[in-house]
Amino acid sequence: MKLDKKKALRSILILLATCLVFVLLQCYSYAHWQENEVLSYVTYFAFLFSPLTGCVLARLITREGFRDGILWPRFLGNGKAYLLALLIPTFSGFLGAILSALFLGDGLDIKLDGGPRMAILTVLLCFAQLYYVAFITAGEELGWRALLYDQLEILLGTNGAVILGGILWGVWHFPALYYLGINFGKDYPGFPYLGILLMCVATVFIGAPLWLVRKMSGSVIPACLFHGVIDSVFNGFLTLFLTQEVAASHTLQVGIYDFVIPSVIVGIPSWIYPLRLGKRKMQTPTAATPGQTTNEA
Amino acid sequence: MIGLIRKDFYLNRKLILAFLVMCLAYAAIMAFAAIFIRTPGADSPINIQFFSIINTAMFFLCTMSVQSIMIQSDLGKRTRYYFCASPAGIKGFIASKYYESFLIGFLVFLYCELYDLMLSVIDGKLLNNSLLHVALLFMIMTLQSITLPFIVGFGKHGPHIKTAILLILFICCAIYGLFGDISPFMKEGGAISMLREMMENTDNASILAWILGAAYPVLICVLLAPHLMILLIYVSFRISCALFRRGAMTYEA
Repeated sequence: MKLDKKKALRSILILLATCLVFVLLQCYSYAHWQENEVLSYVTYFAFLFSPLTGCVLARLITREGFRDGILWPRFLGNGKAYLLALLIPTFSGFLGAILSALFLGDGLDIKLDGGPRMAILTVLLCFAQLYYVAFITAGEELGWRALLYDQLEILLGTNGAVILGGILWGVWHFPALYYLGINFGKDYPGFPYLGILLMCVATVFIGAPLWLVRKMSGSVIPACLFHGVIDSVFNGFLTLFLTQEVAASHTLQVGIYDFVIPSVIVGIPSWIYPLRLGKRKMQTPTAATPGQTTNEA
Repeated sequence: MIGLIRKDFYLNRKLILAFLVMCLAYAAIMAFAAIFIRTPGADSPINIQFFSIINTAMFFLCTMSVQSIMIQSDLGKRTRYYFCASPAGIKGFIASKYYESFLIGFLVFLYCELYDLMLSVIDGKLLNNSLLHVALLFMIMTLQSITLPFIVGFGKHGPHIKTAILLILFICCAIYGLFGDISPFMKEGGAISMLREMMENTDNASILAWILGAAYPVLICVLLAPHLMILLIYVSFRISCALFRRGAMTYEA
């Protein structure tokens, strides 16, 4: 057990060190290399795939390898995990769009120029790009859900893994939050600290269902799909109910209603469910010694 | 199941090695050509987009051949009976064929992305055809999902039967093209002009602009296509599983 913890700590440190290098590189790129489109493109993708790089390095250095089959899709018998991976973020995105529309006082009628016809197209476009986006999000998921959360669980338990894993994942978004103003914009009081804090809250809670589908299936692919839906659907749904002007003038509020609150709403049950399941599993006959009888059987 | 894929890769290691060497040699030759044709300081005389499209088309076509050879390997009668009784079972065995087909496609997708990156670095202009690469990956997976039930169901005659069906379809289209009314396809905004437009503009921005500018029914079809492809692959998988035992009988021992 002690050896496991040592190994887990080493893996986490390697992953975080790798990510830190690429985060700094990306910050430098945003500050100095934006004119060179090839260089900025390369550094951006290196940054996006930095958790994957860290995961590969950690697994190679600690000699853990990839024998756990984390990359294996395991479609057979895991339909539930795949279904949840599509439904939870879709529900969450839709909820976020409705909350934004209600609280920002714009009503629930469709704001797109083409009306319902255009709304159907927007939703279809969001889901059509899901597979493409899932390729890109694999870079993140292979680092966070396929390594960091699992190793943190060994060190800190499930709650610790969700909280610290979510915070680290949120902080990793710093270059995009600071230089591009993703999710919360740049024009708000307390920039960029408030944005980072809100991002961490959202990632702590949205990390729970992501880890849930990853654990349910034993594969990272449902988590990639889940993340793909988040990235492709959230903004698409928002454009249905919110005009460009309102969205641009209330970036912080939109970020909170569209991203943070829905993440908390879907995150809590996804956090509690594996904990309860874990407790029940611990009560199953695994602890029974030879000769001891159990009621379950 | 990982073992099954490893087995097929091991059985076809020479083919894969040859394919890899071809990829690397082609990339090296093209890099050499792009560097030496280019005039330093002047606007680039080479069309890197053209270089990229030729590479993409060529390698995705080659990938289909490699995939076909890979999925046909070790499908003999005795092997099939053996896998019916193995822990992986029929579903696991068939799934491994789909996975390895996807794996090869995905590796070629990565190769094409790296090739584009290499051309971008040489030319200094960003070349981004990743949407096209993903679309082609989906297309070759769809074509393989049509081929696989034929191979599983009709054994070694499967690819010939598929080719025969495709040939009949092609002849029907050719006869219609020669003697039928093709004016709806040829007019402005028709299928032919759409295809030509697509082939001329293959970077991400152009593809997105084309999708968003297409007519409503076309747009719906394009946007539903990825999901339908997934559905087709699933249906193909179920058919292959159902035909597995029957297909074993068509093989010689």
